[in-house]
Amino acid sequence: MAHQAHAYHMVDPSPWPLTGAVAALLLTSGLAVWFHFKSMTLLVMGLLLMILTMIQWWRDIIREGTFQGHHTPPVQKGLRYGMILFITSEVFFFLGFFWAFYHSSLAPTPELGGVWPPTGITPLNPFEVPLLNTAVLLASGVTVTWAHHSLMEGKRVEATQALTLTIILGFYFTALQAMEYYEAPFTIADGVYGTTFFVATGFHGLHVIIGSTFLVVCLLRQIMYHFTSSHHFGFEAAAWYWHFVDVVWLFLYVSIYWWGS
Amino acid sequence: MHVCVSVKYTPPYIQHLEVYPRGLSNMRNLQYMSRLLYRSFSTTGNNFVKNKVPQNQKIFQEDNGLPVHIKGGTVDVLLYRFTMGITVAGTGLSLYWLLIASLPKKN
Repeated sequence: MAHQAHAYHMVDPSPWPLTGAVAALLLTSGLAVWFHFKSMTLLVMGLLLMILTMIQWWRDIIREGTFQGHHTPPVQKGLRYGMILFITSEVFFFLGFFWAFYHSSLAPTPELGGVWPPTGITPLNPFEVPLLNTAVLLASGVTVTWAHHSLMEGKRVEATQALTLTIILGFYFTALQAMEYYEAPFTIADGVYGTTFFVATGFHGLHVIIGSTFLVVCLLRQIMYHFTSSHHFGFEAAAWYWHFVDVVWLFLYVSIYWWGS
Repeated sequence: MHVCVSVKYTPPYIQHLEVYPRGLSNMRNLQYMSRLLYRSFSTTGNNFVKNKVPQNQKIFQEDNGLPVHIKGGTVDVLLYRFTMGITVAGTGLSLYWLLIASLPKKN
């Protein structure tokens, strides 16, 4: 039985990069087929394959770290770099949509009436549900930090409770935002105002759902004793992502909801 | 869950009681009541989920040469085959639609 003479992780051969790439193929070609030929089969297959790939790939990472002990300090350092780089790439993703918003709103064209918000648009009151949403996400940032400290201090029950509260707040935000979307007096088709509003807040909402899912997985792992007080990088990564989602919302709120009204 | 306090071990909340001299009996009663309340709300954690990490560590560290994505057993293999099935079928289907899309439109 050969043992490695280094602290790094040489992974076992895995099929998930291939299945993930094919999922991307099916999603893109499936979208085109749906547009032109009405059939949704390829699209659904792509979605299913993407979900299966994510579940099995991340399941394997949990096995490699928690059950096989491959996540040594240098390996963990690499995972930290990876998560930070990924979140940075997401920041750039959102920067593009903020650019689009400011491009259109700083110099409103005559077609919009030369004003922002454009003529005919009744923006949402920033001091109603959007303000509540801000409070909800800020509170969830506090609870996730509380969960982290409880985890580091070995307080199992407290960590579980704080993490559960964070997730509840996340779901509350999503529910409130869904209700706002339903009740809004304007749609995505209402000129550049509608476009910038729904694309920016829509992608943010998607990231809230992704972040909430990540936190739920962490909650299940916490209950199943996967985390120790000194080693819980999965949780830290989820907490970083959640703070990122919170910060994006703050920028959205100040720019689009508040200044933009 | 009740903790049996043996003669040798005095929990901190009992040691605290000895601090107050006999004259201050009200304080001692207050301490006694808060001790009872503390014990009636247990924070000893959930005992519903068993810690299966050591068991899983044994399974996944077994020297059987299996790659991690199927090392868990039958469910792993079935899930892998299902996933690969969609991969292959999906690739074929996308090539089929590519063929359809490349055909000239009959108006």
